Amino acid sequence: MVESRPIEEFTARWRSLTGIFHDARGQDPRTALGKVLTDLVPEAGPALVFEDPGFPVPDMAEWLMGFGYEPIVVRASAAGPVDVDGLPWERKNLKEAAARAALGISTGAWAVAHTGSVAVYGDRDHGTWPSLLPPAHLILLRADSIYATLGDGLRRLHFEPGGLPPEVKLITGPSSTGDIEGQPVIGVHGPARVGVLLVDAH
Amino acid sequence: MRVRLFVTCLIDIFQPETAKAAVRILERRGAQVSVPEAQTCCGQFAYNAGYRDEATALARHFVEAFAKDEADAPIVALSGSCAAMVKEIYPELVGDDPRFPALHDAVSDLSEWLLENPGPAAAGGEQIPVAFHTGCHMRRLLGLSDEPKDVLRAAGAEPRTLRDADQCCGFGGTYSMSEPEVSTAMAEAKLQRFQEAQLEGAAALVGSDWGCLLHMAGRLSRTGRDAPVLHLADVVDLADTGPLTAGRLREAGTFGRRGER
Amino acid sequence: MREAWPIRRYRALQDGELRRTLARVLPRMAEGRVRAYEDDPEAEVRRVRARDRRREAVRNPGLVERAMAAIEARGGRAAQVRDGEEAAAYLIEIARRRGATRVVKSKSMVTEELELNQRLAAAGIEVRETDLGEYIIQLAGERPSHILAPAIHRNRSQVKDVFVDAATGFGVEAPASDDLDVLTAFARRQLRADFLSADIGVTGGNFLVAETGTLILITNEGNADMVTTLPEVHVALVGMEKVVESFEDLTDLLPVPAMNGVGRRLSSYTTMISGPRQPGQLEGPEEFHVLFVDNGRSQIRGTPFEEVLTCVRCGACYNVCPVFRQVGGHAYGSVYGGPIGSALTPLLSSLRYAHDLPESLCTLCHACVEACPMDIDLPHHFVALREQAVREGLKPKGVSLTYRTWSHWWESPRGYRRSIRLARLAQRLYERRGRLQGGPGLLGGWTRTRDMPPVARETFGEWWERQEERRHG
Repeated sequence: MVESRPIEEFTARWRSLTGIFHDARGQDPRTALGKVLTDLVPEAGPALVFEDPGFPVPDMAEWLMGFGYEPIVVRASAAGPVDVDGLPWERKNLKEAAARAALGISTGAWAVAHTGSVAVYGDRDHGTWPSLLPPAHLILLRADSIYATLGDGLRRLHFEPGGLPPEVKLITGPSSTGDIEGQPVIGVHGPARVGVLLVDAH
Repeated sequence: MRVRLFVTCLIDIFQPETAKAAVRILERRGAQVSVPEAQTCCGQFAYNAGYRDEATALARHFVEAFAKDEADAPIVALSGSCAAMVKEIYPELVGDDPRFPALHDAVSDLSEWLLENPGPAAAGGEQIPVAFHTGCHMRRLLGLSDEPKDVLRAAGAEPRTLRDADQCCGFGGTYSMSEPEVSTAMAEAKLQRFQEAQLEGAAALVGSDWGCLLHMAGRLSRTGRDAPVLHLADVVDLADTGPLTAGRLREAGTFGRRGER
Repeated sequence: MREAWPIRRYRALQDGELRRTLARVLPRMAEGRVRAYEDDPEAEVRRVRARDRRREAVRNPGLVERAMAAIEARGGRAAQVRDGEEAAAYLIEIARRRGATRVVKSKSMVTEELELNQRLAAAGIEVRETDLGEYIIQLAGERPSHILAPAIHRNRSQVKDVFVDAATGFGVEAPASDDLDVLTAFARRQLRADFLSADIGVTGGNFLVAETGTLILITNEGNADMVTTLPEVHVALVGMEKVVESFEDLTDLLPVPAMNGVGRRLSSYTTMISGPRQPGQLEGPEEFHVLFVDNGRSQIRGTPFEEVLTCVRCGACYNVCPVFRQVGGHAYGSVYGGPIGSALTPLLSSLRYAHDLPESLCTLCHACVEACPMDIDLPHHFVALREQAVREGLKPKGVSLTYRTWSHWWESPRGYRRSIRLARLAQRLYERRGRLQGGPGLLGGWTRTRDMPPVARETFGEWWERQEERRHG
């Protein structure tokens, strides 16, 4: 059962941090994607999509093309990540592709309502570059993966089937700094805009 | 009720009028005041500078001076910092003296005693705004910050908290003498806040520690900006004897005139 | 060679622009912390638990070895280094083996402490700082002045000047204005190229979990994640006191730096790294190394100063300290400034080297301990360090003589009164218009900048005696 209280709290906190949030539950996913992209990216361009085998969205590339984006797909496989044609990615090429993308799309492993954070993994099946190198990042988040507290989320890490991922990153708002005169500026090294598309559990 | 006065050395030597005012306000509230004559200084100047043996000797002398008689009568201190020295630091210096625990519990700041023993109600009329400076040890070691302001309100003043009130004025005991440059920069920052309060109507700078107050008044005086600076006891004494006015505060609180009265 | 305190003090107090910048920025950060606690009633409970876990951790000498075993078990490499020389040697060895010449770094106080950049530069390795504040001061050839915001001493137009000079050197277009977005975009553009071409990434570590060997990095800009995932090698230098026992501890610990430093529930990025990249993974480094740094820490363990090791470097004490607000971080003449630096610096090195910090940069106002999430009783430690300075004879003889004579006279009412009578005689030399405007010794320090009322013609004690005589006499 999906509890509604953590979802509401998460929504409020995430909105206060980034302002970019769209609840796609019970909606046509393509339409919802279009709406959140309008908030997130000023102009369509290359979009790096790291597909999550545990959370496939088969039509994503097609939808992105429909909105004028150029999808760059990274798909996990037993032999390592492959592109949309099944050809293996090389690290250098992937790095360059991520660096020129206007948008990164990845899935959130889980989220924390109390802090307004989303956890993304860096392991064989998940990438963190979409959340780091492009100026905008879209997180697909399943409504049933929102925990009330940070402790609830951290405890889950012990039960990941592949073991503790080499990298777990809790994202709490856009890349920001206060290093000049203590004034907040967003988009220093990572994305200035980060949005969540909340989707149904199935 | 008997009350023992913990005068503190700065007041005894440099601001005796404040101690006389304290005696008067205590007596008006029904206290029979005694002043243990052997008292000198709590020793904080030596403790803070790292002269622990010397501070311990002064602490032992304090215990001697106050343990002589009336072991249970409240000891009312005229400085939050000196009261904090006895309550927070003495346990590590003279905690082994069997006479100390009773003294420890007897010590309180004047503002606490005044709240528990309210005097004659202030003569009505308008509340005179004053800027209130809470000493750091009063606030952080004794945990008193509303108490002195409540006392001032009852006396017909309207205490106003300075902006950046959490910031030390720079006195810091002998820090003010060993590091005059930094100490004075801090005083200037505090006095800037006081001047803002003056522009908004504050008639005087009031505190409950002559350490902080002498430091700030001394800076005002040196830079030709004389403004009334008073201890809480001075203000309560004025309020006891007539309505508080800006003129009376000025008359009583101007640096350099105090000793002449 | 460390500059003498009077020189540092003079330079700091001359700098009105610095004081204005600090007065504008620091109260905001301090208020953020207060509001964040008001906003989250359970935060205080979590803070106390976090403090207790940190206290247990720094007392547990076996944690480093456990952490090292856990790191190796997950394919990382772990080592202990005693000082800057050993740390640099470890890195230079990696660089030689891999033919690496370019290092990118995220903000790390421990590497400042080890003077790692200078050591690597001497070995021909180019180091680029990537935290915006660190980047600014690296280009300006300065040291960090605040643990959270290293360039807090510079305002925007001073930052622009640094970037304009750098742009000329790089042969790129200079920022067109001192608008904060323009300045930040300039840094982003320059540093992006550095990230993508670097061979080795160097970071510090906020915490490290012994149970799993997990390194925690907490940042807002995202530069640490670049540094840890883009180069082929990631080397983390972690103070040995940063190790905590279990993953469970993180629940209460992760929010502490951001809550107390700037008043946020979590920073933008909290990254937990538990090893190098897996087979079949393209992101992340091929090699992951953790160096546990001693550099004086083990000499603090087991002493009455041990609790300073629980510090999480949140910066809360910097934000509230009234002395820091006047003089800024460079006046401390040490890597760690602010209140915690005044304890850490002499404890990590020696009191002889830095006794000026606990003595001259603290009024014992207790604002730092009130703000500290670890409840580190810094004022208490400063007094203990001052006592040690007296014992070790580090105080000028004249100063000690003054305090000893003063205390000795005031140990008896007779000596106290005699000193007052003498002062009345002596002060005639200094009295002008009813005020003391000069004086010997400590009094002279006071009267250099402030007036002092003269010793009263009749002290309260003398007056009281007269009253008593009249009453009973």
